Amino acid sequence: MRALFLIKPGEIELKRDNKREFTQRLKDQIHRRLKGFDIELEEYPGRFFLSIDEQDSEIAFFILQHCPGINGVARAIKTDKQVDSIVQAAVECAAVEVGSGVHSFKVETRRSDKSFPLDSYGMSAAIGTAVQEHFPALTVDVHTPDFVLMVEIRERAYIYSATALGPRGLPVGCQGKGLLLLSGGIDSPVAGYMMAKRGLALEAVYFHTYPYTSLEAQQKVERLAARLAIWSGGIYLWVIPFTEVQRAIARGPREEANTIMLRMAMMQAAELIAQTINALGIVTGESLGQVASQTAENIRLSQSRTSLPVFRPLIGIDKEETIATARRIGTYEISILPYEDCCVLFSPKHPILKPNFDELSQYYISLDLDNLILNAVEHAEKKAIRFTDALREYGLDAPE
Amino acid sequence: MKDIYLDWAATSPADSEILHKALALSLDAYANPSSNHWLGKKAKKLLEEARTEFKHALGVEGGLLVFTGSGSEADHIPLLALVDRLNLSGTRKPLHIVVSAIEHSAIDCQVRALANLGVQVSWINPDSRGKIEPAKVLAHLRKETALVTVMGVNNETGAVQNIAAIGQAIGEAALELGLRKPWFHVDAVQMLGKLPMHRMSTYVDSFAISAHKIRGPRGIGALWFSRSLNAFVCGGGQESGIRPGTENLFGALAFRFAVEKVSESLDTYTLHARQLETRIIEGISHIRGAFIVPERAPGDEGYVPSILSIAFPGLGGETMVRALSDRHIAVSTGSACSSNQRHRGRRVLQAMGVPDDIAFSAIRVSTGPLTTPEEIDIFLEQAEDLYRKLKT
Repeated sequence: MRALFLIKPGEIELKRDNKREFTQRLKDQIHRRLKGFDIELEEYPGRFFLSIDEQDSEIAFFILQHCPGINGVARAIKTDKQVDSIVQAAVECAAVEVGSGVHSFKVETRRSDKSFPLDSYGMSAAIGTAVQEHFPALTVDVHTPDFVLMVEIRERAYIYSATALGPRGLPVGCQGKGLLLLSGGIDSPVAGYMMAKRGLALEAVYFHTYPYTSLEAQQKVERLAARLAIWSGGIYLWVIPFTEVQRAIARGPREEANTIMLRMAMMQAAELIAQTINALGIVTGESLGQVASQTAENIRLSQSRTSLPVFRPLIGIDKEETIATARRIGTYEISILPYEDCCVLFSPKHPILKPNFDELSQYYISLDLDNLILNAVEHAEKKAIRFTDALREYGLDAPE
Repeated sequence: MKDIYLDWAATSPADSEILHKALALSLDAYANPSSNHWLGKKAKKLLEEARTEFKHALGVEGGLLVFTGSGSEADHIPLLALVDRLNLSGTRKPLHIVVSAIEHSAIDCQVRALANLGVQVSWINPDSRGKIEPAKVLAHLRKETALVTVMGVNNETGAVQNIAAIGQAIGEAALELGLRKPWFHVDAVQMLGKLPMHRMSTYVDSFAISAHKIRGPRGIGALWFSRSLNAFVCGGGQESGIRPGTENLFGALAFRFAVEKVSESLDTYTLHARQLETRIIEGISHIRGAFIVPERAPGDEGYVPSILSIAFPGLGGETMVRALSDRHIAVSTGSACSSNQRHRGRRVLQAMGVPDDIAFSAIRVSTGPLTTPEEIDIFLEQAEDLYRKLKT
């Protein structure tokens, strides 16, 4: 038995010149994420159809719902373009819904094949009548139905009801690659998710300061990266040993500047990694004014350590909204695990909120961190978190 | 690299001789001690012998000793006995308890749960040396006070509380004011094997102890109490109805043997621990910046010698624990029971008024009968090296 999914691509449908390329990206993404499964993917204007073995349909459904560039996914029945066959398929589709305890429905027909003998209204009416004959308890409600039977008459006829939402956005990779600053907190995974949805392929850096931070803290970040990878389709995580840089900063005379100096050093290190992987931008989870290092003045300072654009998708988002997104995308429960990612002894009691740009830039240079940062980046460990690792993180069995 | 274990206050390596002896006996007496056939009676006899010999080894007269699943459970029993007297219908007088602010989480958390049920709680802060003054306890007694609980030996600082003075003061005050004498419970988990227990029955109404702190197995604790107690958990009536559940004969036997061993060796153990304490305190005094919290001289009887908190200002205690762990030296930050809680704090040290940055820089070192002076020297050497390298 094969299962059929109808896939509705989203924003790429609005493109013109690069629509071909973006469509190909989405197809590639679907193929990559379903690697190892026996699938057939067909592309038609405005729709993809994916068929897969019935036994793999659940995992495929999950994967498609997490693939940026997809607006919606539905299990569908394909028939030839005969009124009788379509009606019969619609009744089968309704039977599944009736099993879940619904009371009302409506039928929507889209007929892109204008040679089909019935018009949309006629087709819907024929189906409605047949469904009600089979399930007399069901009523038609065109305003707020419990479910909608969708019929698309195109090269073949497709019938489906429940449509699951996809992430929308653009297929991963169509906007090049970005480097995410990933901490163990709530914000940065959300920032990564939002940029993946804008078509950015992701690699991530984590600054590890052992023994000031624990191995458990790093493992937590690896789990977060794996949760993020379900959206981004795999991710490389660069673990940068930053202890010596952090210690050099802490030895400096201006304790109140420690946090912003560390942010600047991280940005400088990220720039070096970004160059080696040809990333087009750096992604952070900063939100204006949320913490001391995220004031406009401090953001200007950290920004000054890179020539790349810094994408900050959360800049205007408040914490509650970010938490809601984190819960929805599955990263929140990992983020709140109790392994702190920054050592309390390094954080100044009263960090600078409104630094003088020139003065602090001078101070940063006086700390003479270049060699330490270079050394840290040279000793970075690159960990591949594959899409199959992400599936496993969600408790799903991935094919070998 | 040899493993150096300096976390005896968290748990002690079990004594295999004791475990094997208890196992052989309990395998032979396999029946349920509550069964009425000869096999059950055989098991019952061993259990009751263990109970009697246990009390004998502790030197505790009278009262009842019941075996529990842990020290924590033994602590819960007198606290939960209050639930029966709670003012849930609003018709009875309010209940009040007095508790020290440096209790183990087993007490601390359960008291907070009782507070949520409407019990009024007075928390007694220790002085800067980690001591609970009897006068402070007295000042909080009221006519509704149903229970006072103060731990015998603190698990982070090793501070020994003057249980006799507190117990005596409670008794006298009750008599003077014509009050019903509040129940006085002592968490004696860190006291067992470190201090003599024979006078406890004179001053307290109940105390809780645990086998795994004195080289016995996990999963067995005990509660001694002097007068009748309401059972919160009901069941098959085992352990005088106070702690239902089929009796753990293996655990009871092993606990008995472990208690006998520490009671016989208490003087030797104490002398050994004092020598190690001197070595630690002197060694730490040579590490620039580090110090014992609270500061104490070797031989100070106000502290058990085997538990010390050491501050390394400018270096997080957790970082020091990790770094020492990499060098195969096991120490901890405070109680192992609270280091996996979400909101980590250094409750005990903070209650003593130790500033946060010092409290968070502290580690706890605890020694045992198997600890050697050489191990202490290695610990001191490594701690000094790490402190110099990692201090910020």
